[in-house]
Amino acid sequence: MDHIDLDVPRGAFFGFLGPNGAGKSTSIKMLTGLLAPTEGEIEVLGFPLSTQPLEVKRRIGVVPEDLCLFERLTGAEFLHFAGRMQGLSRAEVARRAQELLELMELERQPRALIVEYSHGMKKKLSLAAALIHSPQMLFLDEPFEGVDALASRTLKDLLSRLTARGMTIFLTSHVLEIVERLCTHVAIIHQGRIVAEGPLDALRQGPEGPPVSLEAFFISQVGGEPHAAQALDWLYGSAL
Amino acid sequence: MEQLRTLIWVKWRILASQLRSSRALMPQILLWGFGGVMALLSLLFAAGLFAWLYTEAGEREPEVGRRIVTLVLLLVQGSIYVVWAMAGILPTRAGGTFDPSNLLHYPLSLRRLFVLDLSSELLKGMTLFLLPSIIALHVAVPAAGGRALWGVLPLLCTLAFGTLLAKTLELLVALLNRRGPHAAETLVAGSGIVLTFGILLIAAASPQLKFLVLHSKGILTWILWSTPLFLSTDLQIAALRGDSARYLRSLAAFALYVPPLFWVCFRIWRRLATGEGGGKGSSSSAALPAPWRVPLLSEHSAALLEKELKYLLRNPQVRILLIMPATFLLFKLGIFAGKPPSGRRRPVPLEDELSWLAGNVPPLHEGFPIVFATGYLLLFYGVLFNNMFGLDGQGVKSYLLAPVPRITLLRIKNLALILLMTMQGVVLLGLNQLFFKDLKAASLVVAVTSFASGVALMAGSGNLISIWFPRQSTYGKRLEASRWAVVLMFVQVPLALLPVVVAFLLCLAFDSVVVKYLALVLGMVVSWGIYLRWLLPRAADAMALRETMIVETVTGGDE
Repeated sequence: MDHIDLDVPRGAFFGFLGPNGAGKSTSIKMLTGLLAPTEGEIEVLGFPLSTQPLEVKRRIGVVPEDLCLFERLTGAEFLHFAGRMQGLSRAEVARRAQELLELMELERQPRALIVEYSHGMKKKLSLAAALIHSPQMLFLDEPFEGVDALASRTLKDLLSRLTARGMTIFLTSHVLEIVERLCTHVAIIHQGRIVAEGPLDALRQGPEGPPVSLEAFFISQVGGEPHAAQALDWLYGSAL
Repeated sequence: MEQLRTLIWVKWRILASQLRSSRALMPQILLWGFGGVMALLSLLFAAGLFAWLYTEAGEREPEVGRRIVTLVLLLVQGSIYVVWAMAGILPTRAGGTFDPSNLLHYPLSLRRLFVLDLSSELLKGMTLFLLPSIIALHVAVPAAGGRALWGVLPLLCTLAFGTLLAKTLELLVALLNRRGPHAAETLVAGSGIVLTFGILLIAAASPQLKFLVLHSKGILTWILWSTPLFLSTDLQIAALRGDSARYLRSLAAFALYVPPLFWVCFRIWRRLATGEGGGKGSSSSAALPAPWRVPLLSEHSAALLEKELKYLLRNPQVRILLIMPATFLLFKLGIFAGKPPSGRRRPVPLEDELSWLAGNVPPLHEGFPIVFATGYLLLFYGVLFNNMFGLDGQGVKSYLLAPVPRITLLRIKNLALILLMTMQGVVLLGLNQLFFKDLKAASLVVAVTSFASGVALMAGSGNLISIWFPRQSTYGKRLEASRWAVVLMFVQVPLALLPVVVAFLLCLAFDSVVVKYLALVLGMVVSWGIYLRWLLPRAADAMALRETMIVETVTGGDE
C-alpha cells in the first residue's frame, strides 16, 4: 500500500476495485484491524482504529476473502458464537441465527460441520455471521465468489435493502457488472495507489461524450492491454 | 511402464514436499526416525536370527526354541503390519495426500489406473522403509533352514497383502473424509486409542498371551492361526523346518486373503475416484441446538467457553490426548496386577521394589509419586497451552474481529483447557481408586495442590510463549510439533512443578508434614497469584499488540 487516502461516505455502497494483487484485500484487512498499517491513521464510523479498536469492531461486520470460520463448529454454533461475542443475548442470538440460516438456505444440514460446507455455503455463513449483530458498516471481500446464481441474487437484494436502510457497505469484487449494478461510489486501486475515486455516475461520465461502462473506465484507469498471443503455434495447429 | 514411473515420481514428490515443510518436524521424525530404526532393527534381527538358527542354538532345547522363534516372528511381523497399516491413516495434511480422482481425466481405464496406483504404493513412504526389513526377514529365516528360495512366495504374498491392507485403510479414511472429516478423524482417533490400549493390554497381559498362543487348543487357536499375521508366521516356520505340507497349506490359506482384499480395495478406490457415495449428511431439518447457558459467566465468556470445549473435544488428536494419561494406569496394572497363568515366571524388574514402595511410603514423602502423574498430565496438555490459536485455523480472525477484551479471550481459553484437564484428572484418580484402592487423603491433597499450581503456571507461561513467539511455538491445526515447542515443554513442566518440589524440600529440611502441606497450599496460592496478577495481564497486553502477527502465523502457512 502506498499512502492511500480514502473517504467513504456514510450510507454509501462503496465498490473497491483493482486488478489482482493491487491491494484490495490488504486494504480491507487494514480497515478491519486484521493487519496493522506501518504508518497513517484509519478512522471507521468516527472511531480511530488504532486507539479504539473494540468500538470499531462492535459496529462493523466483516467477510474477509479467506473467511474467518471455526470449521469444527456447525453453522448454527458459529452464528451463536459470533452473535454472543457481539454481546447479543442467548435468546436473541438463537432467533437471529435461525432466521439468517433460513435466509441463506443453510438450515437443511443442522449437524454438518462448517468444514463439510461448500465454498459458497461458507461465504453465505460468513455473511450471516457478519450481519447477526446489525452492524452499521459492512466490509465484504469478494462476497459473490463461489456463490451460486440463486444465492447471489438473494445476497444482492439483501445488500441493496441494507444500504437503503442506511448501512454503509464497503465491497471488493472482480465482477464489474455487480459493482456497476449495486454500488453508488467506487474507488480503483492499482499497484497500491488509488487511481480513481468518486460517485459511480460521475466517474463513468467522461469529460466529453456519453457515459462509458464501468469495465471500459476500469481498463482505462489500470492501463490494461490484452496480451498479444505469441507463439503457441502448436496449440492453434491442433485446434484447427 | 512410463505411466507407472510417473505415478511413483508424483507420490515421491508429494512425500518429499511434506518432509521439506518447516512445520513437519514430527512427521519427519516419525517417518525417517521410526522407519529407519524399524528397518535397521529388522535387518539386525534377521541377521541375528539367521546366525542363531544356522548354528542350531535352538536345537539344545527344541521346544523352547520353537516357542521363542514363533513369538519373536509374530512380534516382528505384527509390528511390520501395524506400522504398514497405520502409515496410511496417520493424520497428514489434506493438500499433501494423493487423490486418485486427479488421474481420471487421463486416457486410462479405471482398472489399469487402479493397478498402476496400487503398484506404485510399493515405493511410497513407509512401505519403502519397511521393504528392506520385510525382504530381510523372508530371506533370513528360510535361509537359516537351508531353503532360501522358500521365502520368495511368502514374500510376494506378504507384499501383496500388506500393500492392499495399507491402501484399503488409507482409501477408507479418504472416503470417510469426503463424507465428513469428522467421521474419518474419529476413525483415526479410534484406531489410535484401540492401538494404544491394545499394545498396553498385550504388554500387561503378556504371560497370558504367551500361554494362549503356545498352549491353548481348540477353535480359538484355529481362528488365531488362520489370520494373515499368524499364517505368514507359520509360513516362515514351515520354511525354516522344511515342512512342505505345512508350507503349502499356509501359503494357500494366506494367498486366499489377497483376492477378496483386492476386490474390496478396488471397490473403495473406484468409489473414491468416481465420486460415488459422496452424500453429505442427512437433509432432514431439525431444530437448532440452543446456545449454552453457563452460570456466572457473561454472554461473551459463555460463548467462548462453549466454542472452546466443543472445538477441543472435536479434535481427533485431543481425543487421543484424553486417553493417553490412562496409559499410566495401564502400566501400573501391568506391573502390579499381571499374574502368570502357571505361577512359574521370573518377576517383572523392580516389581518387588515398587510393590514395597507402594505399601511403605514414609509420611514425609506421601504423595510424591502422584506429582509425576501430574507432570505427565501437564506434559500432554501443555502442548495446547503453547498452541493457543493453532487449532482455530482461519477462525482465529473471529477473535480479532470480536469486541471482547483480550484478557477475557485468554482467560476463557485457559479455563476450557483446565476444565478438560480437571475432568481427565478426576477420571484418572477415580479409575485408580476403582482398580487399586490405594489413594490416601494425603496423596489427594498433593494431587490437588500440585495440579492447581502446575496448571496455573503452565497456562500463563504457555500463553506468553505462544503470543511472544507465535512462529516458533505454534504447532498448527493438527499439532505437528515445530522447533522449540517440544524442547520448551521439558523446561516448562519442571518449572510448573517447582512449587511442589520446593514444598517437599522444605518438608525434608524441617522434618515436618505440616510444613509440607502449608508449603503446598502456599505454592498453589502464589502460583495462581502469579498467573492472575502477572502472567495473564502481560499475555493479554502482548496479544493486543501482536494479534495481527498471530493471525498471519496461524493462517499464513496452514492448510
